[in-house]
Amino acid sequence: MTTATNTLVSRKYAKRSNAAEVWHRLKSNKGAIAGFTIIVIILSITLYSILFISFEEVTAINVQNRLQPPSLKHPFGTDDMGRDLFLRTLYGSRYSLLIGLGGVSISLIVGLILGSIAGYFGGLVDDLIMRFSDFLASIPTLLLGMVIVTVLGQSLPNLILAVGVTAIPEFIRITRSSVLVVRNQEFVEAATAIGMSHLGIIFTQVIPNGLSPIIVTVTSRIGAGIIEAASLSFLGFGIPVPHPEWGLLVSEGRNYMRIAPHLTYFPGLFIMVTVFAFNILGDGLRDALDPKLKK
Amino acid sequence: MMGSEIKDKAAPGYKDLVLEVKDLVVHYVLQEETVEAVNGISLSLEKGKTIGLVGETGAGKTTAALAIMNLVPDPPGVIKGGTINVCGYNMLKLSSRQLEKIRGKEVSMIFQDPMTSLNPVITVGDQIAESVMLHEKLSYSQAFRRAREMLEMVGIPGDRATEYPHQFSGGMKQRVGIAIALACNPKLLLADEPTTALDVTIQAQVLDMIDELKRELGTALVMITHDLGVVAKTCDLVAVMYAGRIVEYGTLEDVFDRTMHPYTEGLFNSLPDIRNRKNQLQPIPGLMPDPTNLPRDCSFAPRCRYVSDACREAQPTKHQVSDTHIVYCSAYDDSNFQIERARGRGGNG
Amino acid sequence: MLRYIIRRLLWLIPVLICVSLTIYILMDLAPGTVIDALITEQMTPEDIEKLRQEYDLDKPVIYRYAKYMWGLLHGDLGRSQVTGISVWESFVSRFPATLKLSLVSVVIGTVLAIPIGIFAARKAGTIWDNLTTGFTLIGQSMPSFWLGLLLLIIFAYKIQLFPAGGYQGPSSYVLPAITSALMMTALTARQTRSSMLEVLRADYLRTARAKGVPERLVIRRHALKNAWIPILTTIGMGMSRFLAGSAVIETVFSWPGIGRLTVEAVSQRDVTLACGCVILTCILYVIVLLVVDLLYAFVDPRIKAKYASGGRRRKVAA
Repeated sequence: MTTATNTLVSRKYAKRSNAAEVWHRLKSNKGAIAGFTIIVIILSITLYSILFISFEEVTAINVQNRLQPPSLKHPFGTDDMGRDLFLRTLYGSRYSLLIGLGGVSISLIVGLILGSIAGYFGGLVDDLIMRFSDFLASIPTLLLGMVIVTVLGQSLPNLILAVGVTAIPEFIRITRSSVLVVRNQEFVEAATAIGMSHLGIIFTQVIPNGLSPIIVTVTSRIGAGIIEAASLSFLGFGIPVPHPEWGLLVSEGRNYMRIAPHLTYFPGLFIMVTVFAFNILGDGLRDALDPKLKK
Repeated sequence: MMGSEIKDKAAPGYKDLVLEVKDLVVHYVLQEETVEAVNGISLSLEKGKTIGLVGETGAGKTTAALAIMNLVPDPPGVIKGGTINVCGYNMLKLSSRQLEKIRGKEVSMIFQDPMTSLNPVITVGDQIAESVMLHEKLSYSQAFRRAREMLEMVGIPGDRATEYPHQFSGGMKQRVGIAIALACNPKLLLADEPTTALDVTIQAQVLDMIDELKRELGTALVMITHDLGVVAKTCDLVAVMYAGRIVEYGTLEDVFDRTMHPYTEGLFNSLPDIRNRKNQLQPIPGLMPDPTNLPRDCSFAPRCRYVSDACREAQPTKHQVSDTHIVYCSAYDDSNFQIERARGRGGNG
Repeated sequence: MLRYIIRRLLWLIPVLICVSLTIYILMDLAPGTVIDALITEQMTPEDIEKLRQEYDLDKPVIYRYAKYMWGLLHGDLGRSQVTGISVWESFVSRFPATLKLSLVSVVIGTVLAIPIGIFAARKAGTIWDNLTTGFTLIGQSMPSFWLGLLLLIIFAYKIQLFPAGGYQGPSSYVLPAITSALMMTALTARQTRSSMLEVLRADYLRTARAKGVPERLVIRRHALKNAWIPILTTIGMGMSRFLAGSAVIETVFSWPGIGRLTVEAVSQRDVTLACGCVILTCILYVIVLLVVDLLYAFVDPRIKAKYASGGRRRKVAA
């Protein structure tokens, strides 16, 4: 775009406050709205399943009923132990959400702390933290996840931890570079000049101003975390049976692909839709937070 | 070389007229509003002459220049009306293939910021040679030899043709930009604030060079600038622009010595006067109007010290002061009206 | 340039030491040991103790790790604790399957993704852009094991067009290659779109148009060349991620590659084999990233200048 139109465009955006402008652009982004709606639906499903579906209900074995195709009574059919796949899938949404949100919280917290320390102080601290990050990043994520789950045992918290740890380097890097960008700007110098403490500056000046890329990464990382956890489950490194985690459901369905493919279709579809919702919301956020990217 | 059918023979005396713009209107149509960047400008330029397009940032100068090359980014830019004739070609009627043959060959442009206007991953020699190869059907080695000559011509050793833009300083990059623009000997050169991004000491060098090359090659030049000093140094004709319109048009002497428009006068008054340093600068009060919401009357009226009710009613009227001098200002409907010229009179409270 | 490569390769050494130490100790700490599978009902406690001694399980972890590293220093990755086969040999015999599959999918992915990404960027904001963005987002949101299973159900079971798995003949490549290529395409196309969008706004494209460069060449010669760096990064990441994360696709298609080898090793608590696989995978990973970094220098003279002056990679990336 030319300089001429750039000035015009920025003049246009100057009319609204920053947050209002972001909100306005987010509202007019159909993808973001769609993603947000799907997430709300999935959250309601999860809430419903927590309130009305018991663990016994989704794990009770009923062999006479096994491998039934989808019907009115069993919308998604039944699995090899005669359990209703619809209920199991609904019940399973809590795991994926917990893993996605929990995992990203772990990596966000650790990444924010280490990344802002590295970016803010620079020098030797920066070098050490970045070496640590490089080291962590050079272990393939799935492998690291497998090892963590193997060592700590197969359980939901450990799966969350595994997903969280593997994303730490990404958050360190992104926080560090946003901090670096912000750090060299004048309002930070001004804050130093009026005698603000390091911690004060980091939390009141640096992080709020470098927030956009972090928000975008959080959103898309939730989706990636859900896929990663599902993959670990699929490989047998997830939550143990009979918990109906989606990746595990697909893996169980795999044994009956020829005679009961519906066991594969539905849980996988739920994974895809959930991840898609977070991805498209992240995409919308990216556009809304960065006016340069659109038009 | 090119089919004569695309030459606009109707243009009077097109052999001498290198550029003729009539009633050009360019808008940027955004989702919620329309930016009225250029609102009906007309100008013409003969072979070898220089016209200065003067005005504040946002007056529509760059858009006008891009429109002359038919390079207004679309979307959001839309050329709403008018005609543009460059060396007999009707720029707004040509196909994109025909335009590609004219750009760089008949008309070329020097851009404001040399830091960003060169491609960082292509050697400067190749960037000059590309234009030569496209327009003169030379082989790569011949074109590259020409590129080296062009570099020498703008004062850069030819051996540096194999280097990349990041290896040059700002002033040198702008010289490269000039070499690219002049590589095919265009008849018309558009220079969009070519010295604004440069150090003051380099500015003079670059201006001198443009001036010298222009004389040598007989190129007509449109010099876009907000710097009246540059205009005085390089131009034969001056067009003063405000909010997308030309408010005063004439020879250098007309506009500088016989200033008619209050805005032009304001521009001069906001210059420091070295001979009278006690003299206070008189900035023009206020800001340029919002280009998405231009008034239907005179757009300068809110800032004008001579404003009267007549100015608030309609667009300013055109007054042909002499053969060469035109001013758009309703105040001259009153034949006794005169503006007070501060400069040269030494302070005017 | 050479100095840069050497420094990058030297950096591998501390990384590998840390990685092997971490993995070895973690694996060792994991509940259960490799001999659990060997113990039978008939064994006396003395037999078990003898077995423990045989595997050095009576000594501290550090002893076993030191012994392992000593072997590693001599180029010996040890033998699988379960099968007794040399780790190096099992890795090398399984590696070609993974490499071939990853190359096929990277090539298909790149060839499809770049035109798609350019198309979306040039049509930015239109319905075409939204459609391609939607497609790439869906591609990114699909778990690869699920896509693989869907393809198996449709093309191997319902309309038996391709084999359901295994590694024989070209037709066995089709489904796994499509599965992983789709992921690659989605990722690379998105990256291509966003870096093209960035580049399409650049002033130097206007300069090129003002010279009369035809639009086709403006995109191909002037824009794409500047957009290559992030695209290359994504391709490299995709490739290394595939090498490292091929476990899933290999499991779905019973593909005898290094991913499955590693999964098997970890699930059997085969510390030597798992550690060896992780170390070798890390080396591959780092080499792919290094090749990508060297390609940067090839497309961008500014980066070449930085490498030549011994600039650090991180500063280049920033």
